[in-house]
Amino acid sequence: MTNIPVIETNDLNKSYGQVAAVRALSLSINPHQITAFLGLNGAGKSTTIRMLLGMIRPSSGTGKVLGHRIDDANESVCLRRKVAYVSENKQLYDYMTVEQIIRFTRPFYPDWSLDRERRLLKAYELPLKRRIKSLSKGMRTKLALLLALARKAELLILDEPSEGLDPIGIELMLESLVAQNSEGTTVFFSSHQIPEVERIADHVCLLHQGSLVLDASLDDMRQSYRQIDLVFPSLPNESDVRVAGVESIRASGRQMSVVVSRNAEMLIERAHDLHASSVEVSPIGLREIFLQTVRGS
Amino acid sequence: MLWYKAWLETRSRFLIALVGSVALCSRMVVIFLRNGAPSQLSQVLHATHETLAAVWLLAVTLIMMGGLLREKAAGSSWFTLSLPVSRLRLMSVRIGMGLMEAILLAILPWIAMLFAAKVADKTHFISQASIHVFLLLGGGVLFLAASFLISSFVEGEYTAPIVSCGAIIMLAYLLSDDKWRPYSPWAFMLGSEYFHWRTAQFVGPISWIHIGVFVAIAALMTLVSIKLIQRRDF
Repeated sequence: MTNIPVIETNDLNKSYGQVAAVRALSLSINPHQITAFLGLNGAGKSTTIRMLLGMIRPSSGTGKVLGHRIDDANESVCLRRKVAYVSENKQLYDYMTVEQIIRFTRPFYPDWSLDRERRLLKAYELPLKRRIKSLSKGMRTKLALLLALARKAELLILDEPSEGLDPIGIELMLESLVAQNSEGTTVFFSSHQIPEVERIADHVCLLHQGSLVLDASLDDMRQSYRQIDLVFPSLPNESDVRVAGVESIRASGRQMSVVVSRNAEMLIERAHDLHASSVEVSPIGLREIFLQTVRGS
Repeated sequence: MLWYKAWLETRSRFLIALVGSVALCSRMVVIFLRNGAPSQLSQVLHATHETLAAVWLLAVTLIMMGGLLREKAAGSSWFTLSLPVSRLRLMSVRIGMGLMEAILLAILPWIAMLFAAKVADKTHFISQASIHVFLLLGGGVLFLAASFLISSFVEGEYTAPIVSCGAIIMLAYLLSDDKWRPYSPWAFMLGSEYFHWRTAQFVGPISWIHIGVFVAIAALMTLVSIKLIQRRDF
């Protein structure tokens, strides 16, 4: 099993005029993992994904997907042969029927599996003869997923894949992703749905205002991230409690809430030195980490 | 499969235009012949050809409406761009399909016109019909490329054809002046410069320089369109 990153970017930037959509992004996504790409709306997730697929040209920086340069048009064609992608916007060709778009897509990919196609068609209950124009949003999402999941792609990139799906559809989609991953496909997906991420992701990358603010495995995060609530007789300066590993600090009245990714013991010791009257340490979920990191940045 | 997509994308517009122009042109021939004016079949066919040229221009503008920018407006460009094909190939197929449909839209109504004349026991030289078709396509290639160019930088689902129609009307108006008429692709398409109405015959050699210039400008516009799309972010 090779450990060469499937996605690798170095100092990747994208600006639209004065607005920086992605700033100095250096990502390294390992193969055979499920990586969640989190961030608020407008954080730069979709722009990053489109840059990876050659749809948007980076303003500066470099990137490779499966060893292919993302800023080279010819290499981008090769990488798209190995990557399956579903966009945030699941619009497809309105003038085709479900059957026609499957027939159209199939020959582009040597890794297309007729068996998977049949299984997914059955599971998603897609009407073959119906025009895409008349499909519901959920059906269209299922069709877009089918077109990506009917292949045995090396890398699956999904932008908000569960948007528009009902709970059963989400469940089916998550099962499909885990199944694909167990067969060796690397999955890289953006999402707002923290429970989904917690269920299936191995690794989390958090983008905020175009910058990568968190890049860690979910297991490490569960083990090392802690929320420490402190009460002081008089509130100290933030710099007094900012030890290595402090991710965010929120202060209100005489209370301070600190999220640490490591060195919790050191912070507790520091808090005692500052005469903290109460120190409470609690494990922290991904949702809190997400919120605290975004607010703290 | 890109040809299959291009066909499905344009077939409604193409078939409507084809049926419309075939019906209109053959009906016009029948009516002209029934009324006996113009008196000669060549004049009847030439007069009908002028109407065909106008319909052809409109049809081609509508057929060339499409491509990645329209897909972007409709929201499906992500899917096209995720396919393992270059943008150059995507555009080449679109141009190829547009060109084929444009040729058929010039030839088939003419066949229908000749057939309508034949039904009325009138025969016409195929060579005269071929010259009309040739002139239509020789001048029309410029409008075809112009529509393609406009659809490569004007965003919006319906904005491109509206802008194309506006540009074509403006161009036709600007070149309607006698001074500019010899350079007008529209006048070239109609064949009025070469058709001698009294004798109902084509006179003089067809200007290959004109055709060469129209094709060269069309090629340049196509090249610019390709560069625009290749550089664009989606």
